[in-house]
Amino acid sequence: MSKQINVALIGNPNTGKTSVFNALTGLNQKVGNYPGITVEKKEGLCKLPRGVKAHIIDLPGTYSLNASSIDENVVIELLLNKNDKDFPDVAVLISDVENLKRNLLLFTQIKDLKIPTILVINMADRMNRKGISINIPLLEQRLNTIIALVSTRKNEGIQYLKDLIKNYKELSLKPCLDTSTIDVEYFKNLNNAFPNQDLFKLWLVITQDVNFGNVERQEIDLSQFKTKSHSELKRLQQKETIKRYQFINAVLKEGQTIDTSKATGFRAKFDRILTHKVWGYVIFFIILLTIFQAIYDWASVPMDFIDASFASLSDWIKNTFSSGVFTDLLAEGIVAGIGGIVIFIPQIAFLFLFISVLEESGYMSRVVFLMDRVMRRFGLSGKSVVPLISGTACAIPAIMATRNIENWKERLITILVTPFITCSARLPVYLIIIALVIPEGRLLGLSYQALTLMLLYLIGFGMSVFSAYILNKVLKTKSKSFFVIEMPSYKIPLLKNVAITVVEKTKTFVFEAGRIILAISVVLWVLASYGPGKSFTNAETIVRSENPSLNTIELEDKIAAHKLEYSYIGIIGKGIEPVIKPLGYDWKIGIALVTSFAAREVFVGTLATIYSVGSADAEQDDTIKNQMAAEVYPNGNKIFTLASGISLLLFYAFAMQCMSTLAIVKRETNTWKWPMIQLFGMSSIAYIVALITFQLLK
Amino acid sequence: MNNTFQTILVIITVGFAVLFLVKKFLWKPRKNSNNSCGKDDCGCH
Repeated sequence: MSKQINVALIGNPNTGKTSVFNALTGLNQKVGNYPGITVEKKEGLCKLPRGVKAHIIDLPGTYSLNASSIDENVVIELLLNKNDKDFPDVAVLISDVENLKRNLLLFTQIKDLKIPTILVINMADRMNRKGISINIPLLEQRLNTIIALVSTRKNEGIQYLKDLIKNYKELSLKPCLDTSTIDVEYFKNLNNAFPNQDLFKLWLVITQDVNFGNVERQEIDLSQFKTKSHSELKRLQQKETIKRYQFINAVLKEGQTIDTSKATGFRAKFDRILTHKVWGYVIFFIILLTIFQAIYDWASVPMDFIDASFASLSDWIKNTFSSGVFTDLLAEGIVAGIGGIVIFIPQIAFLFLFISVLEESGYMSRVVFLMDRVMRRFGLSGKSVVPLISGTACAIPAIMATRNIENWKERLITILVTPFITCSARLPVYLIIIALVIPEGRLLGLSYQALTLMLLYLIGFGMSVFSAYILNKVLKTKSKSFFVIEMPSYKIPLLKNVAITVVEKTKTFVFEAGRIILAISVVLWVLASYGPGKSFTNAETIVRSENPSLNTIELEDKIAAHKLEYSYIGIIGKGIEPVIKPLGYDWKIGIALVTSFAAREVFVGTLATIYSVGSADAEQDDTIKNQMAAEVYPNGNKIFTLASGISLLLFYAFAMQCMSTLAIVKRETNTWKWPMIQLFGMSSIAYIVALITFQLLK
Repeated sequence: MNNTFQTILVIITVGFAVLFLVKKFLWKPRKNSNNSCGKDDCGCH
């Protein structure tokens, strides 16, 4: 059996490592035209010529091997630990053709670790346009490596790269810099103390800022070696960087020419407008409005179609299959519950379509830059912006993205406030409630419903920034992370990448949430269809004796409602009703609030199941929206009014209704303390705001 | 017969649903081995 080659993809942030990873492995990992997408290593398999296989590891972006944050530490931990099962046989350094000089700093460091290293110059399709020409043979000779010119957009150079990986043993291990020249005396002593160790590796172990866990510190006992002070080591690190850049400058002076007249000022002009202190925000605001309006205008037709189809499917099951408990479970539990999530596929797909286009085009980096100005006024550094913006999709990857924040308190604050950002799981709840309680009129061509949705996004963002400000005062953060963002070039979004993102995100939304909703719907149906005591078992007798004048249909409806009220779920719901009644919710909404703690999307599915069980009329062919709109209190008043609807919207805007997010916060903070503070803090805010809103509007 | 068969199907479905939910939310996750926190005073180093 042939050995598998371990290949590490390494490079600066936003050089297209994940695109190369996807091209090599055929996988569809998320890519984006802004830094910080990958925060932990991802793995895949690549088939090389002659049946050889390569195990490809996509590592987070790093500018050098002088780590200062956790995501950078992932790279160094791997490169310094030969015992790691993923230790690379060959490193593939992905560089961006427009930033070759900066990218080569990392290349020279990896090369000096004596790891066979291939240099990939990515985005080669932009060379002509940017007036860049590269003398590849000369660079290969001076850098002692083999270079692959790659364009993942045009799928060029990938096969050549595969060939190079297969033949990695032919690569030279000659270092770029003689480490001892950084400080002759110091490195001479170091060499004498550890004659069997590689000098550059020793130097890296000594100078790292972050903890390496069990990496070869055990093997390299530095306690006997008198090292320099922290500031002296920093000075030597700077000296090392200067020496490397002197080497790189000399190489590029001969090997690369840039015709600046060809590099047009288009990007600079665009940046001036899109990041302008007034127009930048106006444009961003207009883009947001367009997105929310489009979500409503474009998605309403497929949404109504799906809603009606599931209602028909439920009826078809009841009318076609022989009657019995399993048929009821299928029609009232499973189909109703799943219908409550599938209905939102069009909106979710449109939302991710827009987000993906904005990311791919490079506009998202400009948004990060714009938001940095706002954030700093509230005590957050720009490094918190990327996680917060990622939070619009899902809080879980957003919280993981905080790993590139070096300062612990700043990272903690970002973790704590990120769940306030409106994630895609809130969208189903918002859409159904808005459709129920907000009128359909328009203002300046924009529907009230779209404006309400945008307002909810702004409220979520505002709350996260406000809480960050408060937490910043409470936790007393002394220092701020240094934030440098690289503005990527503008690109026409690649249809393939956009399509992959939309499909993958929608699939995740449907299948991840769908499985939970399916399971909860089944359990809910059982709890709603069975109950203890005579009130449940004798429901028919009780209702008939209390309502002798009702016709058959009305009587059946009354019996179903009575049974539901005295079922297990009814008893639980009635138990929690006193707590939620001041917010304007009945016990059925209360059950949905409890179940949606598993995931917010469960809210709609839960109500769909409960209303389905509580209604006896099999012929009504009713949609979820109509069922919710028809719900009334015993006195005939509607349950979903403007007051209760706005109260619910604000409850979901602020409440920590996501168990998975809590689990991730626990994992990232290594304690239950912070997720519990987050849970009780956010839930309290949600309760108080919803209470005040309902009491004011009712 | 039909009723018994349908009841058995319901019991199986509910059993799977409960198992899935327990596994998803109550199963103890594997202990995380990496120190996933920043560099200053988080107390997990």
